[in-house]
Amino acid sequence: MVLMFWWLALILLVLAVVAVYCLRRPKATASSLAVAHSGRMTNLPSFRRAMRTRLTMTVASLGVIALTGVSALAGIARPAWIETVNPEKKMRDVMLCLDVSGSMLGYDADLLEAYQELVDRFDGERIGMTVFNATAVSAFPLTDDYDMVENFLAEAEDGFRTWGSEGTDYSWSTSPPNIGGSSLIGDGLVSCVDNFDRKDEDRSRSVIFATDNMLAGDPLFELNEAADIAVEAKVRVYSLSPPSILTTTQTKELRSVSDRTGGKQFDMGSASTIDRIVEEIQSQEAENTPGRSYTVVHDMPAIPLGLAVFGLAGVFVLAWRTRS
Amino acid sequence: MTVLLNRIKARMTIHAHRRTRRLLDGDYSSVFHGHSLDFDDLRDYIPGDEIRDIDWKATARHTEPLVKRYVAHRRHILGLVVDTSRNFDAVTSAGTDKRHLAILMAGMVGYLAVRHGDDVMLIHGGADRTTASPKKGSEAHLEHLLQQILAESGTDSPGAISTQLQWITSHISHRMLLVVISDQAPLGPEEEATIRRLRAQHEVLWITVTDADLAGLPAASAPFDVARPDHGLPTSVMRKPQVRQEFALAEAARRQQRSDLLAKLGIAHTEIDHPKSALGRLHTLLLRHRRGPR
Repeated sequence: MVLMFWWLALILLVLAVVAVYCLRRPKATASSLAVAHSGRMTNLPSFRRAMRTRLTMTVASLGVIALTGVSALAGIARPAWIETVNPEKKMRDVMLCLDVSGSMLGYDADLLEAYQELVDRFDGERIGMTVFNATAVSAFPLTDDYDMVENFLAEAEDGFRTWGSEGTDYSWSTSPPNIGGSSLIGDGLVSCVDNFDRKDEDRSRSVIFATDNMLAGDPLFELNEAADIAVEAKVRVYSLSPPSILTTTQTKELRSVSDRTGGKQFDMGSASTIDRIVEEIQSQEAENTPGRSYTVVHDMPAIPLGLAVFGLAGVFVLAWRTRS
Repeated sequence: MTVLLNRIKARMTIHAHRRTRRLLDGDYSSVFHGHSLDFDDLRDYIPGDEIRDIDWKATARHTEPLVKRYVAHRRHILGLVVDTSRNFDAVTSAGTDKRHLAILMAGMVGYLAVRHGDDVMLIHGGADRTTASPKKGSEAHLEHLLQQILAESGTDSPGAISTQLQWITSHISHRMLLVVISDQAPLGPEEEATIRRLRAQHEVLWITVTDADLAGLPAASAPFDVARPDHGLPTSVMRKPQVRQEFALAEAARRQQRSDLLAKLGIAHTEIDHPKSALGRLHTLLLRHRRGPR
């Protein structure tokens, strides 16, 4: 809340004070009528009552006039709410893409905890989550309702920590019996990419792709094909894999996918991973979608000018009452 | 030099023709009651003289009625008791100047006294001091007295006629005819006691110069109280109907109280608001005094 033209109001206030000082009525001169024993009049109860009424009216008039003046000056000073809008953040979509296959179950709870931390750091981005195993399930679509997101993530974390006895269990829903295989990584990525909405808008889209890349089964899309689709859809893939000595080949493959889409590959493990991921994603995104913030001025003249209008009406009414 | 007195004499002759002036002489000469037995001389009857003073035998030998004059009548003292405080730098209920009206009344009575061969003295002042003049019987002296009243214009002394009355009770031992010229300052128990005391010793006549009708002042007049010259009085408030009504009632009650008080004390009283009515009121006053309830 700022007053944009406060100097104008100040100048007008000074002018008003000068005008009042110059135009005030001169004091009664000696040429007026001298009377004696005015106590005959001033001690009358009705005179005292009338004087009190007049005093009240005068104070009320002065109050209304002062209120009107102050309101008008406040209106002239142009009170406004200034908002700095950062369009890039509003234009960012982040899809959390979580592998819930058997090989990842040990990590998923921690990953979801990490996701919750990630969400805490976001501001303005839209977040969605898709979980996949043999098939992909949209946990929640892209949204900026962070409270809901955190609820879902907490529920999901509970589900993984208690092996499905509490919270949400995604293990069962993502491996229906009619689909063979599990950990269909390529299919999962394609589903995640496909879950972005508003495809006609030019938005920054990224996927945080948490998987160990341990394929078991016959996917519709190979990982490389999925990467092609991601590139085509201009979706950057930040992959997040649990550290493992045995799976260096898979990690390398993930890194190449991330690199191709313009993203990056991270290893899970150290406490600083989340910080690094957020920084990386945000700096990466900042580089990728340069935009400038701009200021929006929301004028708020309604209250002061409304008061001034009412006050002016009050001044007229009081002036009329005083005359009559 | 006799500016004020000449003006008063002119008023006495212009506004009332000769007959009335002589009428006043008669009024004045009959003010004193209690006749001495020292017969002095006879003079022509003047309307207003007491009928019982007519010397019927002498009249029978003469074409005109003759009245007896007594020694005790010859040399009286008229005491003009005038409130000359700042309260008299104001206007009367008829809008004229109170001080000039007081001078006119004092001058008229004083002139009658001087013509009658009596001595005149002035006791005047405000609440804080009282000034008394010597007793003399000349027109120049009377003029000087009137000038003294005028000279008090612009004084900042508050008024209280009881101060002058008390001064007389403690300083004057001989019998006098006192003409008190005061305004509408209230007469309380203290004043009543003082007046009662005076009445026992002197002949007292009371002239009240009525004060302005505060509820009837025009809005443009910008009135102020002489006691508080820096503060105006709000005509718009004073002219409100309910204020006006209450003021009229209070004023009437005060007037009645004053008249009743003075009547109770056996003092002839008249009210005056304009020089026009001065002569008539003076006549009424003297007449009332002669016939007064006692």
